[in-house]
Parts: sequence; structure tokens; C-alpha cells
Amino acid sequence: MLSCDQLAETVSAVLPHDLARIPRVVFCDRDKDGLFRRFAGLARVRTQLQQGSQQDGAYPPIFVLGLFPVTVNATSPGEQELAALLRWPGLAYLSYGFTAEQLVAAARRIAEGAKNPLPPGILPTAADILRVISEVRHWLENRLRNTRGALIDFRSAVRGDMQLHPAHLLPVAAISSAHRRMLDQLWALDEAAERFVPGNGRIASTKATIAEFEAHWQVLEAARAEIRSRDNGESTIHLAAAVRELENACTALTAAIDATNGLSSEMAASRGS
Amino acid sequence: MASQSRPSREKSPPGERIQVLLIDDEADSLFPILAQHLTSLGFDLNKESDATSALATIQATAPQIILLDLHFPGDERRDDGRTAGGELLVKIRRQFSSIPVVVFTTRLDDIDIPLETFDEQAHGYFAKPSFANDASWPKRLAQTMRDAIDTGRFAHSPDDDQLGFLVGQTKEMHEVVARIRTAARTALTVLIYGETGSGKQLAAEAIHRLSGRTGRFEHYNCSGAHLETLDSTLFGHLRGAFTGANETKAGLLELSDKGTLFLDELQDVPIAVQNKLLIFVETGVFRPMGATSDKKVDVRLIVATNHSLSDLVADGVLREDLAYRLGVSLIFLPPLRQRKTDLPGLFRIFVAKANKTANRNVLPVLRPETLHKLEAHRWSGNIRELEAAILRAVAHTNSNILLPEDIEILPVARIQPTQSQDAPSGTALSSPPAGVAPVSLALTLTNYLESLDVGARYDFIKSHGRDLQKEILIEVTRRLRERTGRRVTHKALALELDPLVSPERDLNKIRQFLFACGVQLTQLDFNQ
Repeated sequence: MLSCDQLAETVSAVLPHDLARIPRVVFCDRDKDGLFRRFAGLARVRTQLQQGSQQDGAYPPIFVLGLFPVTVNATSPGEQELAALLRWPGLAYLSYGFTAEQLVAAARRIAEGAKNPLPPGILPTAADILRVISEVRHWLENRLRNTRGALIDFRSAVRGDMQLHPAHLLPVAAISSAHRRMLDQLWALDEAAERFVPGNGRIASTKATIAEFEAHWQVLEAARAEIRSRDNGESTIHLAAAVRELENACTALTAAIDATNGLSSEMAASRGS
Repeated sequence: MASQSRPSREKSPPGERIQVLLIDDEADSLFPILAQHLTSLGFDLNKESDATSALATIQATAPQIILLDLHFPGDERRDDGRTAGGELLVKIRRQFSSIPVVVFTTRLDDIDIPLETFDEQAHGYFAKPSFANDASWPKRLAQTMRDAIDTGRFAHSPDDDQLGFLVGQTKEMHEVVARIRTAARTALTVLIYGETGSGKQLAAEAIHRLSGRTGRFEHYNCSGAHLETLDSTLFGHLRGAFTGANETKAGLLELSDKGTLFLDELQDVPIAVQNKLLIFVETGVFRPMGATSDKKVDVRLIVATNHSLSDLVADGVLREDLAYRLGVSLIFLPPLRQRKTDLPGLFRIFVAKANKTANRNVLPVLRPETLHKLEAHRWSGNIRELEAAILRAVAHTNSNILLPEDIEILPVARIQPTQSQDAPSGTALSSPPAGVAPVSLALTLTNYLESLDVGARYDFIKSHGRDLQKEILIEVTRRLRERTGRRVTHKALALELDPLVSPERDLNKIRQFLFACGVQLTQLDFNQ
């Protein structure tokens, strides 16, 4: 089975070099695992576009490839947005059997078309934003739970009730790259959220509290590194510092959760009104 | 300050340490806490935070159990309502079917993820603890993992002739496995209901085997036994205790000391023997015939019948006080006609077993027409009848695949009740007997709360409101499942514990639901 990457290479090979934007190529009906699912690829395109424009404000032009001429039922609630997406001039649907000339012509057309704003139906809905917020909050709550768990163990160690397991002294990233991508996605929704709750500022405030969390975590890691490097009996001060930073991290995470809760409530209220 | 490089470890429990793989997007921050508290309980941990590389890690580390979170970054971009962890669960179950998986989650709806087959389900679920104000979580998690390992042993013993009958996709068989596992952990008396041939003895043996009891498993069928014979057989006798008692003989209770005694056909035990049995169940002591002093033994008693206890008591066949004592832990073995979806699995097991017995090499392939013939039969003799039919077919077939004509149904099965396909007639059981509902839904759930005075109750709920809601829901669904065999989804209840939903609304739904279940929480206030 031809992968999207292989197909993208093939497409870019026939496109002239003067095309500023090489289109993204997706299969219309394949999910991310390459399995057939009606409109799965198209739906993924929509989600990607919702994550925001590129730095210059334009969106990537997109080729959607399928076996048959596409027919989307615009009256079906689930397919209305896909129908709107297919009408967006930055996207071209091609069924197999096209010529190189047709491909180049379509590439030129969508490279221009991608400068157009997305149709209203494609912009993130309140539900889309809420879904991302919900995932971020879920992660924050998990992280808070674990940070509190670590705090309990460190406090016990400071009191001398327990010796820490060596795993407690290993470095832990404040935010993993996967979670950072998730956060970036939320930050990218700032503008979209403004449409629903103007002047809300909650995403910015979430961002600020998470930056605070990261700062405390850095200090925590420094304390951890000190503890690791010292022999028995010399790490009490650094353990106390670690406890302090874990407490601070918990406070920042709690504030971030509160901010996402506030945003969710206001988004939900705006949706209901 | 003491060294940080050595963890404090209590003495590890006896037996081998259990290798756990934690798969969680926050594995790095969660791992130290689990390692801190589970190491002393006999567990060694590894971790993996990336769902996409988890399969390779499983391959490399060969864990004995997996703790799996269902939610990973990127789920928010999915439009199919699925989660990376949910997909990973299915892959693990397919590729590493012998490794049990415990879903380790914070979300209630994860516990009710609709999966089509047993092969795609987790072996256990554990709500991530809050850590604060919860000192019991390590032991609870450890127990859940040990339970899951037991469940995995059951589910993956298709080659084991003795446990093969437990293989099944029906909810009823899942329930049977769960109850056997639970019973095995206790020393309680167990009562097994089931029609002839439904596997009562196999279930009893499974309980014994899983219990870890070191003594023997003794089995006695009380059907048609005379009073003196049964008395002597169970309790033993001294030389000269009765005419013909030329030698002192130990009874089955003595022989199964530190083991298990399984008594089938309970309804045939004479009242006089029941009196002695009751004393034994209550005190653990008995007196052999002709003896002047009691003996004390440590024996787990398992009894079986296919009659309703309440009917037996009403008919004067069974002492009421003994019925109460015996009905502590109940296992109902469904008749084969109620689990026909299990026929393909049982067919494969019995073909493999028959190949060994008859020294044949018939392929365990079930053709649709053969399945149709199996499904059309009532199987009044249950799995015993099925096994015999397949053994006959394997022994006599001229083909390497069983065809419908190879399956010979013998006209020896007992006449079964005719009013309804599955309805019980008289005292024969086709479903758990009425009046034997073993669990009061309201019991532990509300007892604790009701034991508190109003102020303490308010404080408790104020502190633990949200956790309490979850605990209540988990408890209620568990009990409903236990009582009805029906899996209740939280989604079906439309209960969303998202902060967007007001606590009051949650509370009202919970109240309505609990009320429908016979539990009243009218004095509670979840407002925080």
C-alpha cells in the first residue's frame, strides 16, 4: 500500500519548483493507521486546519486523494463541515487517474486558494475547543495528583519517616514533548476561543501558570541533582528545597486547572446562550 | 539524613517478585510513587510513557502484568472517540495474550469502555488514587494486580483440561471466573449451583487449586448415601464403632485437612449428618463415630446442588441454619444452552483433548454447518454431554475435520422442563434461585455514611465529594454487575463528572439512580 509520504514525494516530484507551497497530500478515506474509514483522512485535515494557520497567516494547500468522485451529504449533520471543507479553495479532491498536467494545475489553484480564510464551518467550534481543554485539564490533574504523591513521599523523607526510593531522585521533565505539543495546540486556539468568550484571557493565564510550574520544576530538578550528588546525611537542605518546589509546583498546577475550568465554564455558557 | 539511594523496604512477601510495566503518559512522574510503595509489596516496576513504543517495550521487558493508562496526548485530536490507550489495550491483548492488563485510570467512563470480545478486555480496573488521605491505595492496587494475574491464568488455560470449561465469552462465565477467584482467596464455605454436567466439580477443583491450600482436594457425591455410610465417610470412625468397623478409619474431613472437601448433591445429605456438618461449619471441629473427643481440622468446604436452597429448606430436606451457613459464597454455573456463544471455544478445547485421548489428529476447525448442528441441540447434559459427543466424533470420524454427521447426539439426555426453554421447573435451577440474592445493594455503600453523625457526614462529603461520587458509582455498578450479571455503563446513565456539569445535577442523577437500585442517599449534600 502506498503511504501518504510516498505519494507526497511522487506529487512533489511532478510539481514545478516555482510553486511556493508544496501541498499536503492525504488519502480521503484512510485513518492514521492506513485502514479504510469513510472520510477519515478528510476529517483529519479539518482537525489539522483547525489547529491554526502557519506563521505567515496562510494555511497549507491540501490534496485529498480518493478512489471515486467524492460525494458528501451536506444535509447530514456529521458531514456538513466536510462539505464546507471541500468547497474551500485551498483544497483539491482528486480521484486516481489524473494527469500530471491536471495535478500541476490543481496545485497552482490550491496554492493561491490556501490564502483564503477557512469557511466558518471549519473554524474550531466551542466543542472542539472544549475537547482540547478537557484533555489538557486531564493531563494537569494527573500531573497534580502525581506531584502531590511525590510531595507526600518527600515530606515523609524530610521527617525521617521513610527513605526515598531511588526513582524519586531521577530527573523528570517538567513537560514532555508530547504534552508540549498538546499545550501548543491549546495556545493556538487562543484566537478561536476569543470568538466565543471575548476578553476571556484564560488561555493566556493558563499559559502563564504553566510557565510558572516549569520554573518551579527547574528549581526542583536542581535540588534533586544536588541530592543525587551528595552522600548520606548531607541532603536535608536540598530535600527541604525539593519539598518547597513541589509545593510551589502544586500551587501552579492548581491555578492552571482553575484557569481551564473557568474557560470551560465560560465556553459552555457561551455555547448555551 | 539517611541515604537516598536505598529505599526503605519492608520484608517482601514470600514468593517471586512480580514484574510490572507501567504504561502512562505521565509515567515519569508516577513511577517513583508506585516504586516507593509497591516495591515492599513484592512488585518490581518498569515504565513506558509512549503508547506507540509500548509494544516494543513489552516485548523487551516481558512483564508479568501491565498497568495501562488509556489516555495519551493526541487523543484530543482524534475524531473517532477512541483513545490511544484503548487501542493499545486491544493490541496488547492480541499480541501478548498471556500478559494480564489492569487499566489504571482517572476517568469513570474508562471502566465501561464497550469492547466486543473478552479477548479485548482488561483483566482489571483501578482508579488512580489521589495519594493524599489515602494510605490504603498500595495494598488495594497490589490486590487488583494479583487478581488480574489470577484472571489471566484462568483466561489463558485453554490447554488445561481441568479449566478449559471456564473459557467463554458470555458475561455469565466471566462472572463465574470472578467468583471462583474471589472464593479462592477466602476460607469461606462455597455453594455451587449448576445442572448435571455443568462443571461443578471442575469449579470446586479450580477454587482449591487457586486457593493455595496445601492439603488434598477430596470429592464425595452424596447421592443415595445411607446415613451411617455418609457419617463414617465424612467424619471417620473408631474401631468397633459399629458392626463391621474392624479398623479405625479417617473420614474425608480429616483426610482433607488444610485442603478442600467438595460435597456434591447436597440435598441427599441426611438431616442427622447435617447436624454434625453444621457443627463443623460453625466451629471447625467434628467427632468421629465412636470417639469420645472432638477433632479440629482446617478444611474448606464446598458443596453443590442443582436445587434451590429455599425449596430444600421449605421441603424439610435441608436445615435452615445450615442453609444460611452454606450460602455464604455462591457460584452459579449456567447451563450450556444459555452460553451457546461459547460453543466454538469449547469445541476447540474438547477436540484437542479428544485428540490426545483417542490418539487422533483432527483439526480444531468448526465449520458453520457443524456449529449449526451444535447450536441446534439443547445439551441437557451440558458440557459433559458436549465433551462426550466430540470425543465420539473425533474417535470415529474418517475426516480430519469434524462434519455435522460426525456429531452424534445420543438420545440419553434426561427429559427437561418444557414450559419454557430456559425456565426452571420444580426445583431444578436454570437461573440463580429467587430469594438467594446474596448481596444487599445498600449494604456497605451506605452503612459507613449512615454510621456517621450529621456533622461528620457533612465534613466527609465536603472533603471527598467528587471522589465519593466516583466511588459510589464504581461501587454501585460493581454491585449491580455482581447481582444481575449485567454490565451497567456510566455512559448509559448519562453521568458525566466533568466540572462543566454542576455537582447538584450529578447528585440528583446519582440519587435517582441509587434510589432505583434501592439505595437512598437523601441526607447527602455534595456541594463543595
